[in-house]
Amino acid sequence: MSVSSLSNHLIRGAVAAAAFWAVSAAAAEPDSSGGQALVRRLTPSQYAQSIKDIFGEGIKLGGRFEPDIRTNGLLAVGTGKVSVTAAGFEQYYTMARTIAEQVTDKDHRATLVTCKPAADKAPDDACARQFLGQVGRLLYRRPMTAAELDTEVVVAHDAAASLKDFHAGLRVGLTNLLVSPMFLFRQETAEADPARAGSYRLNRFAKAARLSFLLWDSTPDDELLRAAESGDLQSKKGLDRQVARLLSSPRLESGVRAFFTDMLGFDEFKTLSKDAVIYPKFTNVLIGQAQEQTLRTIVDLLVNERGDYRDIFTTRKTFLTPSLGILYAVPVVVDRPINTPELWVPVEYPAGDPRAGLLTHASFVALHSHPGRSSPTLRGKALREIFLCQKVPPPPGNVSFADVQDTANPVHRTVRARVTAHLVNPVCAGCHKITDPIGLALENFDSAGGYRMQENGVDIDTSGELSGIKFVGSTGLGQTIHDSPAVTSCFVNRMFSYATGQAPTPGQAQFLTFAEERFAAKKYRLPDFLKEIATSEAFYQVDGPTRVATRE
Amino acid sequence: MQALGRFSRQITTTGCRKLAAGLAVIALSAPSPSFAESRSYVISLFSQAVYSQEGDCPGGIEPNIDVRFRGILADMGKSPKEIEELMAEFNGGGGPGPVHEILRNRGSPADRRVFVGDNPTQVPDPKIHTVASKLGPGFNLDGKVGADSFEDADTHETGIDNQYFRALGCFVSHRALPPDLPTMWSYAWDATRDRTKAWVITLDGKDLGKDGDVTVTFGRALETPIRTPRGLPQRDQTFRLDTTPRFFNVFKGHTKDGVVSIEPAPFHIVTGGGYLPLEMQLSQTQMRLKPHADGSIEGLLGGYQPWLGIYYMYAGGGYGYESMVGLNLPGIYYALRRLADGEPDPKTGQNMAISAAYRFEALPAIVVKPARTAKAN
Repeated sequence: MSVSSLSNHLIRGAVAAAAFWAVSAAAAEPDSSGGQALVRRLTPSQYAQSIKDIFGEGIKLGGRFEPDIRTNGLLAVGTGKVSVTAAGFEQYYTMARTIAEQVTDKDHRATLVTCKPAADKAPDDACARQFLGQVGRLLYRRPMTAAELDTEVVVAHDAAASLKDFHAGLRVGLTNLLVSPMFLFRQETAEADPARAGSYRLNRFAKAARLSFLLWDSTPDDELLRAAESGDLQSKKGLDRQVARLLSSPRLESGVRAFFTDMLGFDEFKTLSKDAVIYPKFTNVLIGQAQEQTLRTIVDLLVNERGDYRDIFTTRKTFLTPSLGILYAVPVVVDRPINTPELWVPVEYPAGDPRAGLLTHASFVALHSHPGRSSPTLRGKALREIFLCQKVPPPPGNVSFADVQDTANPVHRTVRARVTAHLVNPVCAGCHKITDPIGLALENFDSAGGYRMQENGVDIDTSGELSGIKFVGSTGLGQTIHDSPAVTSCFVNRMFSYATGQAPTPGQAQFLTFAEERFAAKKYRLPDFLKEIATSEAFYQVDGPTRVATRE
Repeated sequence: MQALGRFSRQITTTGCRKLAAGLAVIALSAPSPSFAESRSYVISLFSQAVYSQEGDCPGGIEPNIDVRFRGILADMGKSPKEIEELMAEFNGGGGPGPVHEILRNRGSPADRRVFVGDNPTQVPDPKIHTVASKLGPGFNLDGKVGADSFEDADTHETGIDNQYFRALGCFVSHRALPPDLPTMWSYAWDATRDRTKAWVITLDGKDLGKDGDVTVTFGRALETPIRTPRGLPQRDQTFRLDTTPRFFNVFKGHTKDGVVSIEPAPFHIVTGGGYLPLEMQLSQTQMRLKPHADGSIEGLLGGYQPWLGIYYMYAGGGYGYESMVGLNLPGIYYALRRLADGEPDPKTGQNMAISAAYRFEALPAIVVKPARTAKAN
């Protein structure tokens, strides 16, 4: 090794050491305050996942859910602002009865009812107490109180005596548990933080629930509840142990899917439709497959491969079905017997292919388009709101969109020409300037997500701009978004909001900055970032108790 | 992981050009170096080729079901009163009573009642009406222009051999003027395509945009077509060619003025049955493929086809083809046998094949075709 190369080597070593100590020095979590202990209604996904985890895969729900409300860009934040309507309760009750009937029927009781009654046609309080206590603990995400359990045992007793059927009594008791607010709502309870005088934190069961719903999108399992019951979860070591266990589980995929389903606004697919005459390739099958393509891509990149979050905007790897292959006009070869569900195959596009990154997926370009035409405005707005956490105001009520909507205009034959004509109105120009230059880069994708190079016989110009950076086409846009610091900052904000169920407070600003630094230090790997959040104090720290903590 | 590589770019580019007539073929194994360009398609419509016009049945259009069955019952010696009583229970082919058994098993001995469709010669030739007109679609298969040949309405080629059209062209269910489809074939293809594997075509050549040699592969895929919301086959679906030898054909072809034609050769394809012969075979096959501006193609396929195979396709439909579709199975049997014009039996002299033609349409698709299939018959 020459002197100069040794010198360079030493310098690099010194820089690396300095960087290491800088990161280590920054590793201390700053104090934060704010956030509330909330009452949050279970999302449909959380309800379904909880039932699946408690009773098994084969139990059908048999009902529908009330719509959630998107607040601050997330349904998760809206869950703290919704109640249950009378019609909604009917549905919850229908589902509860359907589930309870299946759990106690002859096919399932041997495995799901863990005790055997003394007689099948008479009450057995001991057995009922054992079953309802075990199940209630998982449903309520904490041990039932003696009074709660006594009540349900009496209910089961009376029903069994009246119906002359022990399992019918059990069914009534279980139905009660399933329609209880203790199950339908995550009730977060605060307690004084012994380590910080005057501060509060979630109690151990609320902590277990917040952790479990973040990482698994489901109710805490037995082991996590035991850690809460023993108090181990309130210790740093105990928390670290549980976080590591949850992160290493395959069920982490459910948590990641739930977060991105919320963040990407996939609930809007419920009302998505395309003109079947213009876009015959966009079938109803694609409504589900478009979402699944993106979720599979994300899970594979971020969880399986432990990749860089920013690469979701540039990755050339994805998963396709035959129907998606038709939509995208790319080959998808898969063995499938007639009349069986379509299978997924991993696909990698060649370098430079315009379909790189999830901004080119149908789940983005089709979701953020009109039924019969593409929309650079909707796409640009969605990109700013979803990935940059920027709010784009709605258009004024008195604007004419005639120019933009006239896709057969003989003069303005491309979307670019039509939106440019629309911009002569200065009232419109203000907002369109921040949306359209982004969305126009995706104009190679029609309203359904199909690729095109021309519109009305005119070559499509896909040049675009974001924050002064000019680019061309979907790959240029993807790379620009990938490199934008606002993207990771927004992601941190969204993830923390999702985890806590509320928009960050000013008192949490320092923590978010810290979290961004940690995210960067961890090379934007999602599991590592989730670990940072899940083991942080800020995640469980709340303002003073909103309710008196009388019940555990 | 399916690495799309250069292929994807090719798809992307061709898919967007209005005049591009199809999509590329993936070679699973080593691609054939002799093909610089490939286009592939999935058959979206397949029908017997007919050209029905006013007055083309000198004997008249075949009578409707009620009239025919009353005539058959009369021929069987039933009195007008008996016929009224029997037909009162006919009820569109689905009623109770003995009428269906009598008609279904007509002509068979009392002690051994069998379906007339399975044994058409147990009744005399009912001499169904047949087509006698100038125009008819197809090909001049024998190179001759005779009294029993048509003139193609599109190409004005004379000497067209399409005796299958002549034989059944006076049944209402087999009549249509292109681009309309005969009712029977419209229904048959719609009912068939969801339960049989797709039929695909690939064209391989040095430059398919120019006149010159082209290799045409016509075969069956391993996949069924996926439909659009309106029920039509999708464009751009990926299919794998079934390389079982009986499931595909490779023809030497030529492009002239954009239209592809092939050198006569045998054709065979296993259909999956239903409303098509189980195994469709043609000899001295000719084919014509014409591209459309939207990338699709229309085609005509013709050759000599075993008439017994055609007949048993109809007989396989059972009594319902008579009582509900309005066909006359023994009449079809005798007409096909009488009008057969190819492949004479060396012993009896009876022609065992009948000239036939089929029209089809095909949409751009992606066909995975192992390189070893790229060899002409």
